[in-house]
Amino acid sequence: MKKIVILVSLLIAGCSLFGCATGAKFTEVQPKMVAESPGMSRIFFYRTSVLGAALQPDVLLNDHKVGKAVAQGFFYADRSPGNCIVATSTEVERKLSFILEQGQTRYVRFSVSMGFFAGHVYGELVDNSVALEEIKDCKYIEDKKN
Amino acid sequence: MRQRSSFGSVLLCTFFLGCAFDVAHIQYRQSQFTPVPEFPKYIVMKDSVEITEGPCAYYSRKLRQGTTWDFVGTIPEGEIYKPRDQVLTIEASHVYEAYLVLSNDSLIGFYLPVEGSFAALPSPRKLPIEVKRGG
Repeated sequence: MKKIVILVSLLIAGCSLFGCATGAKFTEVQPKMVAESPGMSRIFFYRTSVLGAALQPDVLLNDHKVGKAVAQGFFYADRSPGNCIVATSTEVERKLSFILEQGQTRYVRFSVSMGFFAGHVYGELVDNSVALEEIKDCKYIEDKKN
Repeated sequence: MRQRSSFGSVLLCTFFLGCAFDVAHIQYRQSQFTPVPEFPKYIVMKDSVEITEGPCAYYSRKLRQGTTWDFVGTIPEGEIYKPRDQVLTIEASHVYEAYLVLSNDSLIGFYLPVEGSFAALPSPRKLPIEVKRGG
């Protein structure tokens, strides 16, 4: 009986960790906080929670894929100032709209809410000070294309 | 026969529950934004304010004490104030960045800059603000 409990616990732990980001930590990568090209702006995308880690929807920024919302992971994208719409889809599509100004850095956090067949991954715009604390332990998702 | 009707009920529930995740919408309408060339004034929130009605009915929003909001333009409904030190969004199925819309020092709704739209509160809400001149 004890063995079964241990086995089930390991299985649950394994399942919750499966799908988490594995790259270097934000604090180790130390990415620049602002866009490298003049006239551009930077958006950081991150997801702190391991809840629903197996769900890793594509992240679309103005209809172009920029990465995946991977649990405990982060990535960033430099874009021209203007309107931004970030979309993620699981069983439904969730959108976040915001304005990106020149030289600005913005932070989008992904969270998971309950769905019917699958959880819903949605983006939220976060205050810079809050985001910088939350993103510290997230790991860099290098391959943005897949 | 009873089993069949139970199965039908479950199917019906499944259908409606499945839909329910995407039906929480915020009502807003297009509104013509006119920017001001320089920011002639700004407001400071003297106390925290929690908004739980209208566009904030699904997810309440808090305007934090001490935050500063720049007067950036107008729409026919009122004056628009953009946050300097607080991110403000309104949220239902989707999340929208939002600015405050004030008329006579009362909050009457939110301006959604990407959508170019106005989302009204059910009734004006007096805000504890201090109006300051200059940018």
